[in-house]
Amino acid sequence: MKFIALSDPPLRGVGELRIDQNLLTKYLLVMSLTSVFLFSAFLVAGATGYSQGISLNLKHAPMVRVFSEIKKQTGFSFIYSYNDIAGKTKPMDLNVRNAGIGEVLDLCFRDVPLTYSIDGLYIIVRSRPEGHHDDLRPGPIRIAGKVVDENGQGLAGASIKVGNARTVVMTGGNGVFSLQLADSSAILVISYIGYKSKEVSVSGADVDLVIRLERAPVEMKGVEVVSTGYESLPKERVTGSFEKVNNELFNRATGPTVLARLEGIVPAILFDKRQLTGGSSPGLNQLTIRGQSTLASNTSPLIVLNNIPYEGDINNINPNDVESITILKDAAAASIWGVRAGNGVIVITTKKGSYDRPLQVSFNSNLIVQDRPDLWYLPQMETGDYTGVEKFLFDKGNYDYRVYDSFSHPFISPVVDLLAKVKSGVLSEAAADAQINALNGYDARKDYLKYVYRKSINQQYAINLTGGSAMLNYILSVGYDKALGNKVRVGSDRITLRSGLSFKPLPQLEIEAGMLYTQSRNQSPGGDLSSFLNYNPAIRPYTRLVDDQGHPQVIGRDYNAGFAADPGDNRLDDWRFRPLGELDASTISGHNYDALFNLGVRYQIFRNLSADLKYQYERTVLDNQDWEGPNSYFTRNLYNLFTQPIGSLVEHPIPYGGILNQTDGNARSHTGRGQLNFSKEWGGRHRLTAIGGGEIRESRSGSHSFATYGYDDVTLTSKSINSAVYYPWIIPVSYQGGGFISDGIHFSSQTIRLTSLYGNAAYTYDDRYTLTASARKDASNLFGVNANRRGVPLWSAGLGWEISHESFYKWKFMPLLKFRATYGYNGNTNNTISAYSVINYARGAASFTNLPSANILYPANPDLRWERVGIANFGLDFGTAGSRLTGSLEYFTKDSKDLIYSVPVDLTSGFNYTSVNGVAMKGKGIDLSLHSINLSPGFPIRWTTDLIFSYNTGKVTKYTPLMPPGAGDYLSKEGMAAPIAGKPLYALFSYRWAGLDPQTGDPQGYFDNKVSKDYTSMDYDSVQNLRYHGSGIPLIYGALRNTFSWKGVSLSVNILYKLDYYFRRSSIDYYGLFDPNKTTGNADFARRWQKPGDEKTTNVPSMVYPDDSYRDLFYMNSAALVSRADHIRLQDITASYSFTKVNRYFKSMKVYGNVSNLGIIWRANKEGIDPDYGAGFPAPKTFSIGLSGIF
Amino acid sequence: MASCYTRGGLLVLLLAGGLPSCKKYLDLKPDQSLVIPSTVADCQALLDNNLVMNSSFPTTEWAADNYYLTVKSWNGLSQVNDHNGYIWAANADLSEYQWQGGYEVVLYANQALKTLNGIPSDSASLAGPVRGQALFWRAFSFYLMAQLWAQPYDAANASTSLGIPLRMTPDITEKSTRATVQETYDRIIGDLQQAVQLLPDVLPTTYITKTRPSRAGAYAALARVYLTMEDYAHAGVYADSCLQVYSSLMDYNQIPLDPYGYPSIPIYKEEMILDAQSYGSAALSSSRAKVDSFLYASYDSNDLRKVLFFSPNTGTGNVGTYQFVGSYEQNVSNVQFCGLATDEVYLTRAECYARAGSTAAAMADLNTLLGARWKTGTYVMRTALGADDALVQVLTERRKELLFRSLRWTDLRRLNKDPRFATTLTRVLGGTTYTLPPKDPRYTMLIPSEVIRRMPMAQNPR
Repeated sequence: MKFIALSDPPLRGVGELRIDQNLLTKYLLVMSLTSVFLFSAFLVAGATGYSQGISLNLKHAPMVRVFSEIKKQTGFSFIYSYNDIAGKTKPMDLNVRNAGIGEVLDLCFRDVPLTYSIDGLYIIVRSRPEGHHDDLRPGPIRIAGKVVDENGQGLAGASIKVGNARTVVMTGGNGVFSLQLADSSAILVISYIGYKSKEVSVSGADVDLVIRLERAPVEMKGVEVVSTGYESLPKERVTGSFEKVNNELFNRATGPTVLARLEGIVPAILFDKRQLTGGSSPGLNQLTIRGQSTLASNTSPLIVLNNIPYEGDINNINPNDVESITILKDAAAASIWGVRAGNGVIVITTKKGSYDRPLQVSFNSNLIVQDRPDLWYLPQMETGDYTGVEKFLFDKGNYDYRVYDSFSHPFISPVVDLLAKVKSGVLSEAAADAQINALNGYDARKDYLKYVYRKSINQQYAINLTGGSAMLNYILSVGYDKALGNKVRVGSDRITLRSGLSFKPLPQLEIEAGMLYTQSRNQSPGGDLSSFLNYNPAIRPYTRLVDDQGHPQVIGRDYNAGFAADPGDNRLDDWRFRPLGELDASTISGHNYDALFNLGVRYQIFRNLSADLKYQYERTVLDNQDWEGPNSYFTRNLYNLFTQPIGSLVEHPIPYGGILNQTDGNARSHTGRGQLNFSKEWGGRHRLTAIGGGEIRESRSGSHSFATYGYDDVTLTSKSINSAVYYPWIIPVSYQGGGFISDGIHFSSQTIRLTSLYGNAAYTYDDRYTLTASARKDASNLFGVNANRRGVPLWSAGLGWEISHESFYKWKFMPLLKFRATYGYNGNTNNTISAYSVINYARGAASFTNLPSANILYPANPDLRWERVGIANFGLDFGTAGSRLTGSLEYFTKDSKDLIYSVPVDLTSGFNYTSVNGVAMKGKGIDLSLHSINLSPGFPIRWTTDLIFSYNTGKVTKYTPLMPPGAGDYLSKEGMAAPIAGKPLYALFSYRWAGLDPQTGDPQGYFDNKVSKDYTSMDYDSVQNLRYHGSGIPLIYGALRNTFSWKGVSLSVNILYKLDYYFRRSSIDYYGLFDPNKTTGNADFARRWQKPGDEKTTNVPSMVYPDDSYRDLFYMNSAALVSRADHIRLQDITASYSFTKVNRYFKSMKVYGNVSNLGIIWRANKEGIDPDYGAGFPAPKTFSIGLSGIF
Repeated sequence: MASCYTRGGLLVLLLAGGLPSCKKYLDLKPDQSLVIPSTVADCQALLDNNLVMNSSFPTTEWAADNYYLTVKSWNGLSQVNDHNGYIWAANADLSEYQWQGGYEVVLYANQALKTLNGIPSDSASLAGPVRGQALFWRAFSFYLMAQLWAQPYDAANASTSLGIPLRMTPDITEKSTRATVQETYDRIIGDLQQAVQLLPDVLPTTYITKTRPSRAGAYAALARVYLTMEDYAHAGVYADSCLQVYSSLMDYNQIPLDPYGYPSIPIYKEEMILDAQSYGSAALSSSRAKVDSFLYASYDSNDLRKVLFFSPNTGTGNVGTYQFVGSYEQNVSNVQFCGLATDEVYLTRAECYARAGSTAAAMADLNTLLGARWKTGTYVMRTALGADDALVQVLTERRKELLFRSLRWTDLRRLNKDPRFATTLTRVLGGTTYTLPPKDPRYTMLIPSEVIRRMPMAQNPR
């Protein structure tokens, strides 16, 4: 028997496949015949899969024509034998309207000796077996019920097979079915397009059976419609590069923000966490799509929420409201967004209601717990080593200038204080040693973990109501999130409300209205204290937060302990700092209110032409307060500093009470868009879709801040200050200067206006060739630009070729093969340069004079141009027979021109750096995503694997500053995008390393190609003489995700990898160590060179006094501290269980759990460093559990 | 049906079609605080930016002989620049920010001058005084920079020796080349003389007096410039012109000590003509820099400067040493006053009188100044045996009055040419003695290497 899939290449039967013995064929063998389906057909199915109605009006149509029409409307592919069709059918008349698939097929097969079965996406046509008209013999036992989807909606046209019987029963309009069985027990196999097949065993009559099918979302990947924000396109007809994140994939992770859920699930997205400290989740600034294509301009991708650019904080969007996300990567996909698309576009689509659907309530709730950070991860110096260094420095006189400074009483550490007491004879050496030994036993990290850090807890609750009648549908959702941060008194909460309404008063007219409201609050200890509560290497290792009795301990800060305890004047407030004692003395609190309203009208003018009008208004109000209460150190310190002697009296220019710094911000934006949509098919082979429109947008933002003194939060009173008077700081820290009391007043106001015209067209011929083109012209109120340069035209063109639709294509192993190619330009905006000299007036009046004063911001730059990024993209989409392996491979090149960068200029000009259009970059890369079904669909366990792989490399092709940067200058910019022609943007260079001097332990490098210790000369040397290691960000990255499911249980494991890059690790910096304000002790100190011979086993330089900062800089930037950063991490494990038997109240229920940040599996460096996190802590392990359901 | 098209089309066009050409809509400033400078007020605001105009001048004080460091303090300096600078090492190189700080003032002045082009700016107009301020600042900054990086003025070779780049526009693309010393001083004098024509005599007695240049300030600056050029006739004339306009001196008896025993010199005290501060250096921080002990010893016990200028250090090893606390700036930590004040002008006029042989006039000025410095009733009017003796006395008091004001280095460059006053500077560090003999090439600093790396230009000889 040979089967043929309509409009797909002829497929050989399984019999022939059995002959092949290679591995791949074995792979195929385990598949049952019924699962042989073809990817391309599937694509169509996805596009139309939800509209079940078939309308046909055929006269004298051959069977194949009927199949063809059904396929077009439903996506079902037919598998049949030519012999059967040719020999057993004749042309027929068929006239149905909005019929179910079962109904239509029954009509087709009524009068022919053929039968059909539906399996997944396939309708398999066979001859009726001789003598067996129907092996589903009706029996006495009646089984009836309903097949429903996850939301409880009836699924019409689902097939129900009894045991091994050949024939099937199809469900009717609401998913209802009825069977008569001969045996009392049987197994029903229910299948439906796009859903996982399900087996249900029945015993005895049952007329209330509800069989719930689960979506088979992975097969749906790449099938669904992609949205550019201007139009939704079936993926088969796009030529550009899109990544679709569907609802299930998006909800695989449980993070409370949208961005947190995007990591490691689609190619091309890279989170660069080097600047993050542990625990904080990556923001938009950390995210790049296909690498960075600009330098000094905004590097964040554009966020589009329900078709309109979203200006608010992306964390205001509740992930529970998100239906799907589309990521636009190349010019054809993104150029429709013009000058804002240079960094890629993330299109977020929220859930919507559906017409003709009864009320449905779904909920989701989860609890996320994150561990405390691992403070022992940082390579910190032993306490004993640290106090040893303090003794060493004290003997050298390093602290003398502080110890003997009786004017400003600067802070000296407890150890230095003890040593000074010994020196002045107040304390015996033995007593001091005993006290220092006691200090050696402390570890500040223990106190921080005990009293400051805690497990963070995040709770999410979301409820969502949808429903609709024939003319109206609605959605209403409410979400509440509450988080207790990983430090004491840090917390936040968020309420989101969303409603959407679609209304069809006329068949041609649809009106949509929506509202999104977010209100969030966050709170933490005041700004002054917060910075101290972040554990960092500047905190002395023996610092104690509590004393032996557990009371808050005093910690030295600006003044030495003796002075702070007794400033010698009882008119001054307490000058001691007790971090834990004033946790409640100050508070930062922020409120954010964000409301978004939109209105859309769509009118179908003709069958082929519709018009869209959209309007959106967004308003954000921010209210941030930093309250420093009267007992906070911040307030007490200012109060004391400003105290003025008036004869024998004193005056306090800063009134007693709290200090309240308040910032009110607001933003509002209007967006209007008018668009015509045209779509026409003719001649059966031609299809043209086009959109054209215009957009106008204005967003204004402003802020106002001010400070209030003497603030009493109980009586709500404050006192006035005189901010125009200069107060010398007289008592008693003489000659430390003086100052004005800042009224903190600041106003700002920004307005961005943008107008755009755009058009986009796609023409498809015979489902084989697609041509696309888009163009957009943007103009904005860029400052200081000649009017004729305000606009920039951007365009793209693309080609798609369904190779597998060609008649010559006969590769049965890969029934889907599609090639895509695009080229075009995206842009970037930058408001920081100007064609004219630009000044800005300083906030507030100038010190001393109270006069308005202005700064020169930018020099005139008459050559100012827009940045442009040319992107070429070549893609190949493929699917093997049975979709066992599907995926897409893309190759792209990026050509960034006229990038703006801050270049060093002649210092004689008065400027140090200035921004010019001076850099060009070229990049190329590969994105690959693969999805495989590893076990036969008939197998009880389902195992799928997803591999995403991105390779992305780029280099600067042009960088022509006045002078190339010097070596030291370049190295100091580590972690920033710094161009060097011929090297990647984040190139990692280092000083060449010649080991330690065997006599002195000095680090040695090369100057003039000779071993050298001339650190200054090496600092000013050319970058070309440095050693180039490679890229500082991964060139290869991606993830491998395995998902197992069995019945209702699902388990998924995601592994991330980042490869082919380098990082610089930290080590001892004597300059920092010797500076009483820096204290950056590093564990490498213990391995330093101490005697000749050590150089054979260590690269850590000796400690010398006085310190040479150039020597430290040389060592810290030398090749000795560069390692490969490649690593593989176990990102997360997710498990869920869906209840299959649900009661009459709950249509479905699912419990799930997730463990993430499980740590590194393999790393190239031997120091145990997690290169993803730079100098900070790696994100601690996170555990979450949750429950979702529908009723 | 056609009406449907019309309706839909119209709506779309209404929203989109006409707008990108609507220039006015796009003329709005994206940030309201941004301004393209065009008015007199804009220029005045630039020149009133006292963080730029009054506080970022390069200083020579770290190289002069008003202070010394102990070897421990010297070791404690973390920057190589500071180490090398203190011992006048041949390769001592300043931070490039010292250079940029001076030229930033020039940039602001040039921007104001460019904006004022085309705006009528004679002395009677609103723009005139603003133009005068800009000219003053450009000249004043050029002068201070010339004290570091231009070779000392010597009429014999001024037209060939190396001056500094004289930038005359805010255009960033202008190429920098070094002018000769003669061109440098000619430009400074030319600008100041123009400024004299445009500036008001003195400004209202508010803080503005001290941060904005006045005609008195322009005269004082001219006096200082001519003195540096050893043109004593002109220096005397301009010092006199200044004192004709403004001559207040503070009576040091009026300065209170605060309850803790520290002097409380009011900021912007009345004898200040123009406030200007220089970048300091770590070496000059008050807890490190110890006042030269011979210098301290030279003050009479009735001389109030002895207590108001100096404060004893405390702590082991520090007893008997003093730090300088007598700055016009409240923050003595390491910022130095380098502006103009009447005490300097009195001393300049006195020196010029003495050099011109007017002994009595010279001594009258000296007595006026010192009378305001000594305890009431203790000062005995000084007399001189002749003009030379008057000159010696004036120069001795100049040394004692103008400390830590970036003036000593300039005086050394000038006076070292006269064998009577030539001094060899010495530094002693842990047994090693470093010396700087008169007329040494090291009296001209090296241009910071980063400056030359970015814009190649002739380096000063060593």
